[in-house]
Amino acid sequence: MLTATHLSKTYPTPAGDLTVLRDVTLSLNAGESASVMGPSGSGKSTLLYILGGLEPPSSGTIDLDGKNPYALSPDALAGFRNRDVGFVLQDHCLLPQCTLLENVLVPTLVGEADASAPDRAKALLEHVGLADRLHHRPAELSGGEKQRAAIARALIRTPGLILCDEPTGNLDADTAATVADLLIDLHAKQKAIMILVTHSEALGSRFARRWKMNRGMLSL
Amino acid sequence: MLTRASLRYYAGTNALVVLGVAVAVAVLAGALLVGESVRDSLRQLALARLGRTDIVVTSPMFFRTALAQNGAAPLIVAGGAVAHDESKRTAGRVAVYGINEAFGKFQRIEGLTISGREALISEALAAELGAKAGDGITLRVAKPTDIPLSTLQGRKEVTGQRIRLTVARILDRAHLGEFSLSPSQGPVLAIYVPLDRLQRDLNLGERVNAILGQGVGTIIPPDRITLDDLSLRSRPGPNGETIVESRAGFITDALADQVAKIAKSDQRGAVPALTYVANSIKVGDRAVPYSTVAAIDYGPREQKESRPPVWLNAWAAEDLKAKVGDKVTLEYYIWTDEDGLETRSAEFTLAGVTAMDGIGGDQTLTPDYPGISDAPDITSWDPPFPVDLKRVRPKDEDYWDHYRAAPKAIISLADGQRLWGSRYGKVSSLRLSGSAPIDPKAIDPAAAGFSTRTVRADALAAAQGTTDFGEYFLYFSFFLVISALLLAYLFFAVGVEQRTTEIGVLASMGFSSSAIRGLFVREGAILAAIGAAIGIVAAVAYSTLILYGLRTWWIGAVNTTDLTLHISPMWLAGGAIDVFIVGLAALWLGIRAMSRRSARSLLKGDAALVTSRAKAITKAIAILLLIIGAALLGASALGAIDQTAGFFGAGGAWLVGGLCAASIFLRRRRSSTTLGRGLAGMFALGIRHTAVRPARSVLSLALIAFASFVLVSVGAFKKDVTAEQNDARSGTGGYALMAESVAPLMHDPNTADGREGLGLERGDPIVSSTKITRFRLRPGDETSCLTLYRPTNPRVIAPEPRFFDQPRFSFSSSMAATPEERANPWLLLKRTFDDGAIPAIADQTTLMYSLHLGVGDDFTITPEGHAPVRLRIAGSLADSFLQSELIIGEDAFVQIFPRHEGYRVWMIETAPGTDATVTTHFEDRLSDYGVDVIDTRARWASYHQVENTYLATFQALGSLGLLLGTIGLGAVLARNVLERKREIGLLRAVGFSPADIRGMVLSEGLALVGGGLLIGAGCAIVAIAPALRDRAQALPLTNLLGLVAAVLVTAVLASSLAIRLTSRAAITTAIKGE
Repeated sequence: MLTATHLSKTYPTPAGDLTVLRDVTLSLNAGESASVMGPSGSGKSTLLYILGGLEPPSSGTIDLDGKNPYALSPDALAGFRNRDVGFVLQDHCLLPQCTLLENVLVPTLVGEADASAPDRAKALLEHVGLADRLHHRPAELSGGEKQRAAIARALIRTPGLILCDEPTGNLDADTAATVADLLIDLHAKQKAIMILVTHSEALGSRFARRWKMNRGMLSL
Repeated sequence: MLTRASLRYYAGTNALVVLGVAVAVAVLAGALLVGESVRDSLRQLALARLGRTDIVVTSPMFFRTALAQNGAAPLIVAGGAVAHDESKRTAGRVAVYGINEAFGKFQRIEGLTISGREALISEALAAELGAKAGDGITLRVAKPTDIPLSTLQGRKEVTGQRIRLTVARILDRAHLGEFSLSPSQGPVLAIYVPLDRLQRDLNLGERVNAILGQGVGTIIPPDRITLDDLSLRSRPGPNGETIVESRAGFITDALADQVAKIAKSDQRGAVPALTYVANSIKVGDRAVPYSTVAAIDYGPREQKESRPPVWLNAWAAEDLKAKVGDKVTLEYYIWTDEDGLETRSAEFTLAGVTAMDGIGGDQTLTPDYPGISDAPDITSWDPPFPVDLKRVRPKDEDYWDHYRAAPKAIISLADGQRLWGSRYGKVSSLRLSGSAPIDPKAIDPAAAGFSTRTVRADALAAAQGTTDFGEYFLYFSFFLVISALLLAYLFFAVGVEQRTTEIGVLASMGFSSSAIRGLFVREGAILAAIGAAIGIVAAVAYSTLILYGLRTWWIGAVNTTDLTLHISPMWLAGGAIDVFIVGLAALWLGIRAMSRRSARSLLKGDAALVTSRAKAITKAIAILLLIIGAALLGASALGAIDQTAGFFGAGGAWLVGGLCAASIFLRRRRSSTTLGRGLAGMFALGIRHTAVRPARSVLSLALIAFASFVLVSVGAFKKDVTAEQNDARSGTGGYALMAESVAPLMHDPNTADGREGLGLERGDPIVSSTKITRFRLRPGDETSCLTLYRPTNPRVIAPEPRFFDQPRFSFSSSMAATPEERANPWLLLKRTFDDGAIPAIADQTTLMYSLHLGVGDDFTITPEGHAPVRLRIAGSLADSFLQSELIIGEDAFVQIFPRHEGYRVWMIETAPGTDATVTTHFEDRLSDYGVDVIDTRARWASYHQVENTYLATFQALGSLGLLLGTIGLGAVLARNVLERKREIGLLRAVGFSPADIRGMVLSEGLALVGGGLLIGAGCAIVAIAPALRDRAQALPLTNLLGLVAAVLVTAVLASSLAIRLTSRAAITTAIKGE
């Protein structure tokens, strides 16, 4: 279960403090998912980074299956992200120097050793339709193919929390639909919690929970 | 997996990192190799020039050739001057070796047997004279004399000997043509002469003054030494006693002590006596001419009268009609080197008359004096002092027939030593009771002046060098090494910036900060290791190039072409490891800064935001350095610290502070301003971009600033010879010429009598037109910047009293405490220290770089046959032509170097325009003394050339630093353009022309080099301000303009690659970011 209570985030800037999140509270159980929609600058991505352990909140708490990631030491927090969180970002962020298979396996280079990881990586890539591109580099793939590989990478550790930041933002409508299908399908199979940020009404409406963000405030 | 993949993928950037590390290793390890190579070359050269010689035994008095046993080689070692008979070309400071067949056998070299008037000369001497085999040459050497020249009995006229020789062969190095007992790296002027020829022409019999040996320990078997080898002789006295005398006339104090100790241990009485020649013994108006007077403890020395007692022998008492109580006046000559021959007198009271059949007629009281003792009559005397033979009466000849040189008067030993004792000794004989001979084995040869030098060990020690050459080149290369490391860091930092998003992704996937750092450090370590390996190979090439430069372009600095590369794995590894560690540390610091950023900002690819804390620290550092610089300037101005160090420290502090200030300036928050239009707008846009990646910009500024600082500051220290000819305060001391002779010049050329004594005309117009200050000389090791060897036995000179009449040269510092000493610090040479140290003065360059001493420091020398002596540096001369010597007071000189007699160095003031005439005249008229005259300004300039050559080397390496800066800047600008592809595409899409884009990029380059130049050159001007002021020089504008031109070219070159990149991509491709 994921619970966030009274989350706020303020950034100091030379022009004065900038409050990006205001008193956000939410909760989701395992297997549940939600979309977050809102105008640009409303704090959607910031909420995702805070939930994923990438950015500490200015105030408030987070609890994922009884763990508050921000109460952990920096190394333990890294371990939390490695084990319990999977990110799918708008810009796929594949490492250009690695092949697709290597990219998917990158999260397994740290944390607990997992002898089955290569097989699982191949299975994931096959599931996302890239079985024949294992040894290709990102520069040789289309945008949709890269994003599918990024999805496989996010799931290699079977995380309990999947966070997606505009995963289809750079894709055309057909490719976006394919990627969205994949995400929803894999989420259903893994019984993880998934939160997806999107501008796309079509994508957002496919989720049972549709949250709105506006000026840092979340309305459930 | 990731490391391998990243290394392959980012090969382009990585190659530049490897290049930076390789350059740093090449320069650092190369500098260390240069140092080791120079040391090794000096070692090999010194040892090659010694042949098989390990030790050499010498003595100031000549000893029997037969003392050389067991394969040792006897020889005569002397200094000389050689002239080519046909061309009249001359060479001074020639090493003369009188050898026999034992020398060739000892050295195991064939072909060193010479006879008659044959001579073997070194290649350098042959080149200097333009001589070849078969040519006639004339050698001039000092005539050795047992009797010291600076005594009444010393023969002072024509102290040199001319020997005509024929060049039999020119000896190359393999045949020991460069034989030298003192290490030096310059050409060796040497001549081998048959030993018997030298012995005959110098009237030495079968004597030599040196023996070469191998191994350690004594090479003279003690049982072979005779009294004659110790310059002593003994003869029986009239009463069965044994009389010990010296060939030198005086027995030295050391030998007298030794003989007295032997007598004591043998329970024999030892009575010292000192016998002198009196021109007259007078009582009233009666006088006896040319008599000897013996100073010996005879009767009671009760001095009821005001005058000390004297006893006349019966003959003299009767001739003078003297009775006890009469006043007796002794008139006698005294020789002083300063004033020549003087007549003095002393008064006594007649205390008694001695019988002629006793001590009154004892001829053995007077030692043998050549030219006097062996004369058949008084009129046949050939003494080295004037004798008016008209005063000799028939009764005087009669006395001579019967009693020879038996003393006519006796005074007490104390009175005699007071009047006639000298630094050469205070007794002329010792009378030991009993007839048993003196055992020479019981006398320590060191008391007779024998000394043993371990020349091989000394040469190896000297080959360590005056200053560690590796250290020198490390200093020269310092900025180059820093620039290369900065470059490597810059490229690595650019590469890491390029992968900002990648780092964020890794963080998001659970890579901890330390895991991310580990990844990049592993990459950096591999790159650094590859760079180090390449650098090791490049170091060999770099050091080969430097050594080539030292043998050719920069030969002025080292004065030898005998420098070869010596590859030392230890130094190579040391240099590589040092750079590897420093480079890795720099990379780790850079990664640490990156990995501390939030994963979110990394994912977004944001530029690093400097926290307010970091900004505050940078600001504090900048202000602190500004204050430190100002404090150093103030302290220098007040004289609290050395000016050069203070100003350089201030310049350096402001350089780093300036870079910190630039960092703050680039990161400042700008208020909205318009950029302008047209060309001004393009330039403003370009300059504005330097603030986008401030860390990169500051690194680029640093590269240019360091190089500019070095190039401007070094150029200011170049030296010229600018003194007026007769400027007594200049580095020539107002002397236009310096003459040095092989044989001592005993007479004062400033007086008519002195000129006559030197064999010149009394009224010689050329000599009379000059003013000459005379200096005593003890030859020794070169101490100027011309030598690379560490001097252990430096050349010492001492001025005559007239030198102190006028302050000459300028002092950089001294121990002057009184107003008189401050006005003329040379007076410090007359100071006495309670601990017995002797004050000395030397040139500042000599002290700093050759002897590593400062004012107040002590330096120990061991004169031949003398206990070690401590010299205390009392003053340092600022930039003079006296770099080759230490200067001490004359009184101290004659005490510790008694056998280096007369004056061998003349400093000459000339009338304007007469230098050439005076030079020719002196060398011609005083050729028998082997006089060689040099131009003091030419000597001074040769030292400046060495120093300027070192500075030129520094500048060359600084220029390499500027080249590295150009490469770095070019890479930064190119990187910036690549990152701004979309932005540039957009600008072109909205109508910016290619020329506009080029102007924008060029302005960014100009801003960075201009900023670096401003900071570097500006701080350098601060650093060199005192040097400019001291020389009354203006800013080195030529230097500065040259530098400005160089950096402008740098900016254009660096920008050119970037400019080419801007015009490559199509607009749409650029906008899409593909």
